[in-house]
Amino acid sequence: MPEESVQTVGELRAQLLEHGARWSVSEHLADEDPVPRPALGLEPGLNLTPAAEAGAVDLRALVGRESGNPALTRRRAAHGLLPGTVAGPGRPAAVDWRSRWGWPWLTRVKDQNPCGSCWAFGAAGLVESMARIEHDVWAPRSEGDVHDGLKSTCGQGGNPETALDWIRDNGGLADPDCWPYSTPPPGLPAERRDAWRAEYTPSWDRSGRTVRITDYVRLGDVEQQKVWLDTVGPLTACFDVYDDFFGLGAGVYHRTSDRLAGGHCVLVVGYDDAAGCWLFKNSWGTGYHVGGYGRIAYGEVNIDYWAKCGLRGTNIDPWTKRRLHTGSVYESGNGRAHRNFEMAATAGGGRLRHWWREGDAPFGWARAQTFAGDASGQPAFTGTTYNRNMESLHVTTGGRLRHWYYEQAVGVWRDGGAFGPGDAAVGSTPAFIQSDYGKPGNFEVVVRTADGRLNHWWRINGAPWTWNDGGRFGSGIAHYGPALVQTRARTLDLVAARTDGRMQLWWRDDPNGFAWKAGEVFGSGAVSAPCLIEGQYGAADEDTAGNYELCVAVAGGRIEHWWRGNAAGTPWARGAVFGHDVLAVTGMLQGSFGFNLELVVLRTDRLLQHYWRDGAGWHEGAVIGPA
Amino acid sequence: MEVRRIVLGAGEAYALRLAGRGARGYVWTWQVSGNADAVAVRETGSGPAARLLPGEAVERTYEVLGRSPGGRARIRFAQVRPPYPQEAPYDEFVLDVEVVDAAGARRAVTGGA
Repeated sequence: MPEESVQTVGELRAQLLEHGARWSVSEHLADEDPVPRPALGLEPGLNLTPAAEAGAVDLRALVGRESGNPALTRRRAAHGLLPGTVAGPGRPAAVDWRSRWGWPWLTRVKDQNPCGSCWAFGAAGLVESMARIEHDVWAPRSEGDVHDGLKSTCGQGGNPETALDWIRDNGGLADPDCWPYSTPPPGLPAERRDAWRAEYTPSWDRSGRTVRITDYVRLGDVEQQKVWLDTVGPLTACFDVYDDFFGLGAGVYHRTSDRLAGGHCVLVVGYDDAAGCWLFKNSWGTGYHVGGYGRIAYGEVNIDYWAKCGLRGTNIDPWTKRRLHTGSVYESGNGRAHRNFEMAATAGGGRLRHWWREGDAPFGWARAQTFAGDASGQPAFTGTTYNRNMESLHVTTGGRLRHWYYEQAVGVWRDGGAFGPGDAAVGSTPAFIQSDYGKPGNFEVVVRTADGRLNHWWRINGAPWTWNDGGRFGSGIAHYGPALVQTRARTLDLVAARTDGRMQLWWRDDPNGFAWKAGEVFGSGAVSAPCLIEGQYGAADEDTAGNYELCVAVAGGRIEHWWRGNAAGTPWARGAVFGHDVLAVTGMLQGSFGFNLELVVLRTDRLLQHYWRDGAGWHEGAVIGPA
Repeated sequence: MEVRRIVLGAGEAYALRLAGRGARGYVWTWQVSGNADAVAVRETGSGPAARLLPGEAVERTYEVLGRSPGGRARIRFAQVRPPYPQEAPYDEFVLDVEVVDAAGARRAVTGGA
């Protein structure tokens, strides 16, 4: 970085005189004193590591494990990074994370305008892309969380390493609804905008809605940076911006101007050896370059002078995954790979047991603690924004609902109390989700009642923590359970099985009095409660709704998989029939394993079994244990 | 928006320093109205080099040259993002220039923001 032009107060006074300035230097400073340079929260240059200083790293030690994504595992094997593998013919000539293996991996191009917050956007883009790559989930993050958490002003520069340090040390990076990226209010004079700062006050359930990270990796060696791009994911990068850069459209940028416009940081999302360039995602909106993406030649404008930062080991919050699971099982951030399955199931005598599956091979299921004493059927089980607590809800033997929660901070199961109708269908499973009404979001529950209707209950997640009866709707409901989703339009959708064996969608019309309305009818022969999630298929980006995925036990002990294309408007279609001796599907999720669908079913012999679907179809998994 | 008035002699130059926000995608543009031939404007480069963090503003310097005595020109500088012409400028600055004979040149700031 260039040197300061003025070092002493005397030099500054002379400069002000020469320029006819309308301000003067503080009287208490002597000419020989250095010009005061108060810390702005970040010390210039202190935390941006030169590539030469970062040097080479031990990639085998850093990433020598199988990914949940089989395609990425194959890439690591091809580089000889996995134990027992030997490096093959070399890395591919080009990598582009905008689309790999038929899937999109990058969130939309954003716009930092008008603040000097490129460094926060680079760091947040890195967290978002690694959350997507490691866990197959869209996890839009807030640049404002780290920018304002660091108390940076709008005009204040920074660097991704400082941002990543803060994210690591402050419990992760929150979603925009917890704390948004904000810019100076309209009408604020230009000369005051750079000094403007947002007062950082995230929602108090922030600890339950951050993507957590461990340490990031500084990569100084260009060849290793390319291997990282091929086998792990994107990298942050910083470089000098010259005047001609603003005109960059298609093609590979080479500097043609001598006029420095500033320093800038972006997310490098690929490379192209044939063209000799990095592919980067900028944060100036889609109007720059080609849809917000540009290409810059290797080594140009100091892009390879500074170390690039990579990340692995993201730990996703339950809020981000809230639509990706239902019923008795969900994927938590626990375990080395932050992808353990957590499950609750009946354990006899009205007790419930917590089970969990390690997220690494051999993927064994293990028993944990028991709790409750009045469960009549399988519980609904989920993680919430309350510090990632596990929460369980079941229908009691007396036809009420009872809430238990595992307090992560102290490692104890606590009875959250009973509530509800008194005639909830004994033996059924309630639907139980956290919605985005309020912060922390309300709990929403729907349960079938003995009169064949559906009953909605909800709890405002603030004092006095009371449950409210949202009323009954529908009729002729034979089976209902874990099949409740809050849509991106904030309405609630559910699917229930009717007495004629057909399934029907119900939805709550929130803008019009929160009235429940009957929707489409599909399928036949359902003999148990359907399980419903909104998955990742069809979700082209973080703002697009994924398909509904539904599994239900039908006559003959089989399972039917149904799906509906929410973004494309595709009607319900049956995808497959599989399985045997199945009494009910008790839980369903889409987790970190290559967009696979995962089921837990209760068999006729009262054993729980895991089923899963990959690109080759549905497979029988482990028999977990009794329920 | 600051409006500054100056008087330049023919052949006299006036140096103007503006905060460049290139790391955010902004460039300074200018338009001359009135007696457009009375003045010439050119960018003379970045300001004093400083140790900068990514995203920070960089001072840009421009030179306004008086050319034709008796002319009056208004120069409107606007800091914009070229791909987004519908956006309001981040910052604006207007320089009203009166060009006189070199002998009568004097510089006077008669207006402010």
